Amino acid sequence: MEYLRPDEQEGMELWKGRFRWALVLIAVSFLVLGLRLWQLQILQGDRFCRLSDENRLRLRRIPFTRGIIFDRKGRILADNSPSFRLLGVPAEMRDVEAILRHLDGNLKLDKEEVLRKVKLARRRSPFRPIPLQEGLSWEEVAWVENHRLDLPGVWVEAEPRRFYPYGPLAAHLLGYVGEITKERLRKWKERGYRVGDRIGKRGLESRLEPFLRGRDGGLQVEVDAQGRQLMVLNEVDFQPGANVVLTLDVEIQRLAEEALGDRAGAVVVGDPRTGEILAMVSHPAFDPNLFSKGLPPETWKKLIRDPKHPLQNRVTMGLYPPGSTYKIVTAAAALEEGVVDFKTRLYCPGYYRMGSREFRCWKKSGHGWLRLRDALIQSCDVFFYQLGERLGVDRLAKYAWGFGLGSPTGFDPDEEKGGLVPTAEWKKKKFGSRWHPGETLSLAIGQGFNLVTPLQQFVLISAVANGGFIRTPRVVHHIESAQGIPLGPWGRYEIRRVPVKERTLAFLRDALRAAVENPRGTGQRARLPGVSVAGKTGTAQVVEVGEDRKSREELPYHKRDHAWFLCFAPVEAPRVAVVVLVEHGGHGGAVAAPIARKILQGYFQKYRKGEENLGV
Amino acid sequence: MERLRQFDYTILIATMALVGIGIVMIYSASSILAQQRFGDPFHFLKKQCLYALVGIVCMVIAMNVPCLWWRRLVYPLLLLSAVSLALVFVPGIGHKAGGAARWIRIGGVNLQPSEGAKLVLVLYLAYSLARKRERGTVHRFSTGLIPHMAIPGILMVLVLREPDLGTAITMGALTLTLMFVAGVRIRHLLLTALGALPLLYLQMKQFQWERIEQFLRYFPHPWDTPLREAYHIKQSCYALANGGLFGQGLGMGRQKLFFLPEPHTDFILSVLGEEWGFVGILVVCFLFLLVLISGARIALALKDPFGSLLAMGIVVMLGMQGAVNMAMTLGLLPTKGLPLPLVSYGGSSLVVSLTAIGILIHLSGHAQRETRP
Repeated sequence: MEYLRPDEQEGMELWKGRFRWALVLIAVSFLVLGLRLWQLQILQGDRFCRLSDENRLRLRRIPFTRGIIFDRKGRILADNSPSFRLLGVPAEMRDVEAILRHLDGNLKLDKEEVLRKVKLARRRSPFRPIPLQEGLSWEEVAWVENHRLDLPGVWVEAEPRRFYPYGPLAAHLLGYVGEITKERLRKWKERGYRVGDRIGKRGLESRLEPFLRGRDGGLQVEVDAQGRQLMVLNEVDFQPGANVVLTLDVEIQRLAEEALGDRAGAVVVGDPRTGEILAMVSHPAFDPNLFSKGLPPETWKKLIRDPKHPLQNRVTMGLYPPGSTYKIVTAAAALEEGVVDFKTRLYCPGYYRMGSREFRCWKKSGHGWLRLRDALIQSCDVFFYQLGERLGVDRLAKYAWGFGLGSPTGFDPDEEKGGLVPTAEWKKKKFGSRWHPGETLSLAIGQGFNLVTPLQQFVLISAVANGGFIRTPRVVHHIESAQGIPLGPWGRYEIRRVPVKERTLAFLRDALRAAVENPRGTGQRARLPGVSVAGKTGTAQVVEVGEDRKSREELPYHKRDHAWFLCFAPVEAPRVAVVVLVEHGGHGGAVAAPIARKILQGYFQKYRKGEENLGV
Repeated sequence: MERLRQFDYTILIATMALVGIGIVMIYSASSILAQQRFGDPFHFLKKQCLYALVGIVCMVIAMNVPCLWWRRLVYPLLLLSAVSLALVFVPGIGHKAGGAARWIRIGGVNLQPSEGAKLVLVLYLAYSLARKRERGTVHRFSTGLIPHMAIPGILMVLVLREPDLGTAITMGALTLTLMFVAGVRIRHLLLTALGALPLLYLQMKQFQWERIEQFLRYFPHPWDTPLREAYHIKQSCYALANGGLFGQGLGMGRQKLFFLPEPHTDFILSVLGEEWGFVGILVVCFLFLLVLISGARIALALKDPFGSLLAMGIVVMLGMQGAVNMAMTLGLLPTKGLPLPLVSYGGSSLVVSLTAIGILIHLSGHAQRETRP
């Protein structure tokens, strides 16, 4: 086909003419847009304004459920239970006074406080729902639901709340949850935390926070003026947190708590072979459920100001002089360093003179001639003064470190104290003065500067029982997803050997057994029919050595001695180790040993040989 | 220095005003959203300022690139554009968001190749159509129609695959308009449009059909429709109604508080309408028209067919996108996710638009020289 080839100039005109048409099209479309805009913004503006006032979008959070914490036999230690709270959107509560008047009398409500909150939020972010009242009862929820029409902008939301079925049982170990602080929020913003989130604050709740936390879901809904749901625009399911299975046994834990009674102190029960914790008691305790509800400031103040420090976990954070339990370390050091052997006999006249100072034995009449074994059985102070003098402070420290004292066990990296193993250098640094040989004598019987935690004592006695292995104690058996898929091992567990020969450890086991079984032993009250028990008592003085010892009743509470008892059983093949500390309790043999006995008795009733493994 | 005075500064000033208004409105619309998502209310503001800076540098460069260079660059750019559109689907480079693969990630920067493709398409069509005109073959079916159907068609299919129906339709309309302007026979254009329809049908996804169907149903009275899809339009209408004649005042809008989806990108005009009212939107429209009219004048003044067609193409590209976005905001078109050029938040869109403006300003230099006696 032939086409006419237009003249160049003419073609230019044609095409520019066509471009004008295109321009006209664009101009017309802008005109249409302008008219539509006029219609929407000016003509029908009022109508839309009204519609928009009645029409609201709400982002409803579907809160996640926190991971459940189980004991070794699948009993629930920490769970979630629904709790109801009243929410309100300030901008939609037009007549706040009327709403409050309506609520008052039917709900327990602090009218002034709520009014203040609503007024404040009105100025800041009037469309964000604010909590008006937490912890509604079933009756209150039903009442609000029935009176919905009279309460525009107000509704009830269910939220899972942390619930501890056993109350204060193992409270220090489990910890508690509470609202996230501003400082923490600043650091954790990238991890998706928001204002008002509840997070683990102490104990396992805090350490396992990344696992226990799930992810919120959300519901985007359009609601009308009465807050009724018109339609769901979008929905995302929540993800529950991972579940945690502990090595703890609720029955043993309860047994230990009952055995300790209302005395302030700490108990650790565990398997010396694996370092698994079966019970961990710190008394006085608190009810972690109080924290889930949102603690009133007065209760918080009361807890903090309590002279017995109920919030402190004495097992990991409590520092005490070890008293005579330290003689285990001194004995091991003396044998290893060869300053005495099994047969060496030393004399105890009831006191030991060094220079101008006189160091007394707890038995005024003295023990007479003794070997190391007898000295351990009767816990003779004078014998160990002499060992201390021969060893010197630094050699003693070497073995204390060897047994895991002086540094945290690694059980809880966030909340654990390391205690103190003094050396000459340490004293120079700390006080600027020279170490006196006399101080080594106090040290050798566990007085003086040294400080230990009950958990360190557990590691120490476990090492004696298990043939010299220092293990990080563990309480988390494993973590699994909400669907039951194991998430792999958790935590860092280390094993190392005590720098002590097996011959020495065997001697210690035998001597400690005799300390319980021998009629002259200090730990007789831990004796158990049918099971061989080995143990060491300790009576840690709070007031300085040398001051006249008065009977328990004569001293004020805070000056009374701490009672210790460390033990394990059965001696032939140890399966359980127990550490008992009674704060200001008096004599270890009289106070702490019977508690340990009760726990051992219960343990051997429940766990027959070979039945200590997980699950029923 | 002499050369600088020859440029048309109306376009430059109007453009800068639009970008400035955009930055202010983006901050107003997104600060709360950004605070919640990123913990930094200035998140989007900072990024948009950075994009504007990059865009201005590109614009200044484009102002100084001779027309000859663009002619030489047409085919390399076309190839680059097609490759980058294809890279969107390559895992590791392509970046998905909201179910659509529209971005590629290079050196930590997300680029949206379909934005660049629009400008490249205009360059190609201006070049090719101008050459066919000079040879007098633009009327012919084989030379006037086939290549201008095939090459834009390839780009469109790639964009459609992302899927990005809005951009693909824009590109199609742009192609048809430029062909029409360049003097391709009306008969051929109708044929092209007819040919494109089955292609569009085959490539369109189910949900895109549903969206159009629903739009046709709720279009006459969106505010009475309890449909999930009418939700955006409803919220946009409420925002505009709240604004009234003079608006609620800067920062006082409330539809942006999570009622409006994407208040800082596609629905920036709703926020502007709520805060600055009818008057505010008219100002933006006026600035837009100022750019378009100045551009049209340049196009009409140019004697060189390539330059003239290029200017026309840029005017049509910006005008069409602006009109479509506004129509969407006002509930006259289904929501398709197209930004308002120069104003909405988005790096690729802003940089490409500013580059196009740069070319337009460069052409204005030629236009003034040509009209001078």
